[in-house]
Amino acid sequence: MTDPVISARSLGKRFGAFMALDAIDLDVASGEIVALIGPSGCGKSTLLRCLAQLEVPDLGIVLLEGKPFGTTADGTRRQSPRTIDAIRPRIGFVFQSLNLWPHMSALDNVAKALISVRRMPAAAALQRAQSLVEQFGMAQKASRRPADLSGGERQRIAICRALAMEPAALLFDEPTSALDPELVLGVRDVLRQLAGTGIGMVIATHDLGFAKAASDRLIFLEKGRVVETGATQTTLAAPNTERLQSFIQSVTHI
Amino acid sequence: MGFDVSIITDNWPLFVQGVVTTLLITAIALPLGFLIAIPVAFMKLSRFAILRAVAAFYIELFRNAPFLIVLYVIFYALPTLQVRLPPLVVGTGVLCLYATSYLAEIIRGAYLAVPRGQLEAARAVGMSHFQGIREIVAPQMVGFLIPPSTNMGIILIKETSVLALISVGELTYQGMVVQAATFAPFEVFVAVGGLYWLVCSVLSFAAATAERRSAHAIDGPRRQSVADSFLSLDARWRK
Repeated sequence: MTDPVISARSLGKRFGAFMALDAIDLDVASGEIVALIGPSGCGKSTLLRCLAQLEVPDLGIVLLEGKPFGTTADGTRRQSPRTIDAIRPRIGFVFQSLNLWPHMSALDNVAKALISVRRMPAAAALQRAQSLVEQFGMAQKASRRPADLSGGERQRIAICRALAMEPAALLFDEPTSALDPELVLGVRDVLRQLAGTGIGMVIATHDLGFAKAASDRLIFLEKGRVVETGATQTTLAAPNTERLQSFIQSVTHI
Repeated sequence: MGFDVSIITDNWPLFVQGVVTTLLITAIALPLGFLIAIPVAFMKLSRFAILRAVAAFYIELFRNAPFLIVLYVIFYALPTLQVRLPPLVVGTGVLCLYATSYLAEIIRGAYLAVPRGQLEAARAVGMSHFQGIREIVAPQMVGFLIPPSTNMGIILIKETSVLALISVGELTYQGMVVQAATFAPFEVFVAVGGLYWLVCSVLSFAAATAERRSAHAIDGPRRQSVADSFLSLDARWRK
């Protein structure tokens, strides 16, 4: 196994008295797709947000390509906001509600960070954005606003926006929740294609079918703890814990 | 009851002067108030309690007393502090401070109206907090700012009439001058009222145009779907 692109070491997060994450350890290798599954409120989204330092973890450290992100290497002190902002785009985040910027065209959504953060000349940034949206079959619709795109098209633009910053890892929060069921396999193909380029991915999902189709490895969370983890196919076929077994039974009721 | 038009036509230079002064005061107080209101609004949104408290104190101080009283207090306090300024300057300044308290709340509301995820998406691609607000949130606030700011502008134009009481030569004051010379209050105040109405109407119209443009800028050309015109509850009440 190659060195992990993103790791967490005993990551903890608390909201008041509520323990959202409790000593989470995680390693995602280059080109690996890890699915986070578990019931609502189990900490899937919080884990993603803590990995991207959009939420400040209370304990533990996050490592991005082996280097500490968010805190110093011993986890005692916070990095400066400037340092965190500089590292953060190495982790692409695709939000559940996508959060595309409605006042810009799809192409500008993709090019914006290149211009504002990377300080790339606008022409070069737009060219790079254009080639990205072309790869995702969106060349014809690049000039449209997000409101004029379908759900699947918006998601591809959101992925392009994250990819523009050449991330080492991509985090997806419920990527299939807003999609037409017919498009779900398309998302899997996109993720597979991205994995081929060496990007490590973490996907929070409650869609077991999608996790099964798309991920290499599975982490089952409950109440902020890792209950079970393993290769997706084998774990789903023969879960070790009773809890995962009952979870699988309760969601695959068809 | 006769209406002597000559009262108005004979004294038109004074009315024009009044309108110009009124517009001048508003044209200074509104933009300046807006500039001051931006930091006040963000102080009120701050995570630091002390900044929130200072902003809230300022806002409530000016918002919860009648403008005339605020004006009198400041106007009569300044000389005791050995500060002597022309009434026009004091009046414009107080109007500006008064407008700031409302505008700060208007700006805060517009900020809160932009979904939180918008800023988060900006942070996710590497923008700083400030950069995200400036480049992603602020442009989306414009549409939320125009209608209440127009209200504020109209209120300010009308509120300048209070400055007549500290002898600022705006429209109401000029009306009082003409009235004192002609003893024709009816004609004079019909003219004064008509001029206020005219000025405010022009502003409303300009703002409505600006609002349409900004909505256009955010949503692109609005295409109404066929379903929209049938399904919406209020469809028959709209154009």
